[in-house]
Amino acid sequence: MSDPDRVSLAFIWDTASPRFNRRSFVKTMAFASAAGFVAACGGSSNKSSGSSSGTTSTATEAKVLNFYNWTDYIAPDTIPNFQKETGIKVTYDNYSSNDELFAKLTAGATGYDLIVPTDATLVKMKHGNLLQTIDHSLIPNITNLDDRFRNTAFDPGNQYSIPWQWGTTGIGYDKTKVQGTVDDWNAFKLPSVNQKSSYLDEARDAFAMALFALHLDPNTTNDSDLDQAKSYLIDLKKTIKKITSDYQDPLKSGALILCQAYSGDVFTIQTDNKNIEYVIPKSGAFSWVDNMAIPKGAPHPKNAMMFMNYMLEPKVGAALTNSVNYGSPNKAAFPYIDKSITSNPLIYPPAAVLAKLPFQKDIGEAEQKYDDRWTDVKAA
Amino acid sequence: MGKPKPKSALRPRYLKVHAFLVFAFLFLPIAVLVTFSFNKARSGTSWTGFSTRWYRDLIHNEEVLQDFRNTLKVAIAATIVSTVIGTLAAFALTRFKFAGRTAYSTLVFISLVLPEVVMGISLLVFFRKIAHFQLGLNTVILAHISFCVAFVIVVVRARLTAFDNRLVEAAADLGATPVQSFFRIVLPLAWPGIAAGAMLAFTISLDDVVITHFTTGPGGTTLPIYIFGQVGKFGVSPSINALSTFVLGFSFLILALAGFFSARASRRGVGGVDVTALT
Amino acid sequence: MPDWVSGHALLLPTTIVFLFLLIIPLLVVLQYSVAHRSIYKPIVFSWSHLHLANYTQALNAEFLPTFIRSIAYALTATFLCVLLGFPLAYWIARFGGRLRLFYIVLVIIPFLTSYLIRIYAWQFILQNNGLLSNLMDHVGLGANHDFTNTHFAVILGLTYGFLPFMILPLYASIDRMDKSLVEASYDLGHGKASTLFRVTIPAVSPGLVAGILLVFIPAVGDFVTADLLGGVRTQMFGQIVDGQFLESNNWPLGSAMSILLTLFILIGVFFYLWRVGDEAL
Repeated sequence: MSDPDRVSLAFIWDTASPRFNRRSFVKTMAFASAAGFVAACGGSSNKSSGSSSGTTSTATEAKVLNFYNWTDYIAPDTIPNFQKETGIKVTYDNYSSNDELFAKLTAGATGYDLIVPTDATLVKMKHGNLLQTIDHSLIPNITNLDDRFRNTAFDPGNQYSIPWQWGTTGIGYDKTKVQGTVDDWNAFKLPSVNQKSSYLDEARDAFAMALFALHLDPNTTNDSDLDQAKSYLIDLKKTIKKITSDYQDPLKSGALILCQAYSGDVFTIQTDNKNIEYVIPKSGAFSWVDNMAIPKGAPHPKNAMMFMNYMLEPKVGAALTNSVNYGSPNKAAFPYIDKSITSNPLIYPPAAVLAKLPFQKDIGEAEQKYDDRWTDVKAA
Repeated sequence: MGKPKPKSALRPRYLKVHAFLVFAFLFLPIAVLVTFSFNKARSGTSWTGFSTRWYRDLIHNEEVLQDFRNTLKVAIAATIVSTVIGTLAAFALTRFKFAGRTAYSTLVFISLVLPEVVMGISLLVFFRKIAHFQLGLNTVILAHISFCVAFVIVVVRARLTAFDNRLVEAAADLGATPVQSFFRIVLPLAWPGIAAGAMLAFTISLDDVVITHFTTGPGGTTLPIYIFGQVGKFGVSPSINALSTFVLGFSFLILALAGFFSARASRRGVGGVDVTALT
Repeated sequence: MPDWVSGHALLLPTTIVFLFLLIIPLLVVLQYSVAHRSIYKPIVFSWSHLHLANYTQALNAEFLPTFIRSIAYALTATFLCVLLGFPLAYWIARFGGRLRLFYIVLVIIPFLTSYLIRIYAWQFILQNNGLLSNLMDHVGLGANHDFTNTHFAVILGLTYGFLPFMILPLYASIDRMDKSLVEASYDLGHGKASTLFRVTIPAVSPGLVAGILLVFIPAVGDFVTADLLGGVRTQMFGQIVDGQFLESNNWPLGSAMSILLTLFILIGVFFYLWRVGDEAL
């Protein structure tokens, strides 16, 4: 480490970390002495985590898998069948946003073995040294993946992750209530949706909407482009009702009639309300991929990889897609997926449309430009 | 603890009307959720007919029931611990004059004001990186104790401030140790405050989402966390309404039983204490 | 045994809880508030480069309207809680008779169901084509009212959510009031209003102060209510702080904001306690 003073707090606390050294210890004595005291208490109460710092060389693993996934993002028989096949007991817990997951993982290893972050969050976790690499020899089914997902910009060569499902971020709307054509982002300016629309509470997604609408690069790091997008979003705040990622129920019930939305969510809403339509805007939209990954310090990484391999089985992958209505990255699963899904151009877009559906790029520290402007948009 | 029968002139009608309206306000959303727990369709927005299918669903929904059990475990443990230690602290703060009382009040207020996300993240840093605890229901209980205790202290202190310190002083003059005077004098007098503090602690523990999210680990999902994940995507599921209705029904049953037994006890004058007055 | 020994002995368990579960986390927040951020690690801390700019940024005037709005919402909600809660607590404590237990538990029962569920029920009542809108339509006040995304909705949500925090301490306090004082006041010829202000309110003031603190302080920092019942025009400061941690990944700024918020509220609370002559000081 070149400059021992610039130690992130995470490493000051974590005595197991190689970056922990005497100098930083002395400098944080006030904290660390308390830390030592508490660590002693913690140890005596038999609660020490044994910091299983997660090398895959661990000889045998307990037959347990702690799986942390999005709410309602799995087929009903996925876990029961896995448990039957392998005898591994799965503890299944849910989270509801990438940000919550990222914040929680950053503040401390959590004991989970398998998480499902979206591509942009996966990149942040990768750079933040929060993930461990996966061993392809334990995942022979990896060859079942569609080529598009074998060498992605966010995880070249699937070093850290196996895709779970993918989709797009477009517009969901109620066709009986919106007057006018909805085929592009400018639908937010239709008089009939005034005070009845929402855009997503995610900085990059909201900015992408503005940048696409302004025909600018959705992954731009150019300040003046971003300022234009910021003004666009602030201006739009006058006519929308809410900035929210919880638009699903309001859209179904009519409290909101036009929302920036994730594709699969809208298809799920359609099963209850046939008037809701999804559209991929003409000027373009982001694609995204949710990916299975293993956090650093996961107690059962081998079981997690076994689960990844299981998900890549054709029928298991197909069952997932049939249940959640997103696109499957699993090419071998394709024949088993319902025709209604594979023939839907909104879930499996034709090549011409696909060309206008870029992934979010890893823009590094420039992400802060988005974050700061997003705070301004929210406070405006 | 005898209660003088209030003169009928002191029973102003408008207070009763006011009380009725406030109760109506408190129960209005409850009526909505109870109604929709019997709705035929999954929708939480339009009535499609009477059905008990969501109650049948609930019985088979092992995930929800497990989360509910977790929630109860946490709330009961956090309430008991925070009520006991909060009561002791409130007594010390009202009874004794010592330096640092203001500092203590400051800590109580800080605990009330600190945004939940800040509390959640910093507790997680403490649990994982300082104390090296494994995350789970135990860490959730510790976190809940930390924010419940402030509520207990404020409520119990308010009750204790209103009582006559001379009683304790007299007891001390007669040779009672602080422990004796605490159990013989303070506790009976403070009881309604303690009960009120415990009830508040229980309800906030039962409801917490943010701090729980950060401090829980594998298998430690509580009901509010489950609901938070559900409602975003699908709105309130009728099974959750059914569970809430069940909890309400159960609470009313306990309330009725408590009323029945306390009425009987007070008729017999058990232990010389009027149990209904202990509220 | 001298006072301070007994005092500290009784305080010991809470002191341990506060030390480990409040003070140490608070020190963590303090440290964060002078750290740098980066995209991949929200916190980059260095003793030689304390980053005080987080505080100047937190004091930026652009956050002021949101901050003032939060204070105004919390004050209004507190006022409404007193207005609704005081007469109710008074009625239960003085006139509840044998049913006092029943009534006080009745206050708490709605709060045994999840807060989120209750707020969603309010959403159903207040939203476009909701219960209230339909009711107004029936009595000829016009259809299609949407009450969500208004100051009214957020204040209503806060008032609803925090009402028991007012009622319970008030009840516990009024219940202790010496009833003979009230009767003496009447005997001395004081009217109802005069008795209320000269006898009742001073006697119950500890409960009132506790209730005001328990409603106002958490309400200022609340973010869920405004999130679910409000919209783009009802942003509260708690949401901005929350956003720094969960959206903008600016933990140092979020920490600085929390500390400033805490300081500001503490000053306000102590000023208030000093004015009412509370013993907490």
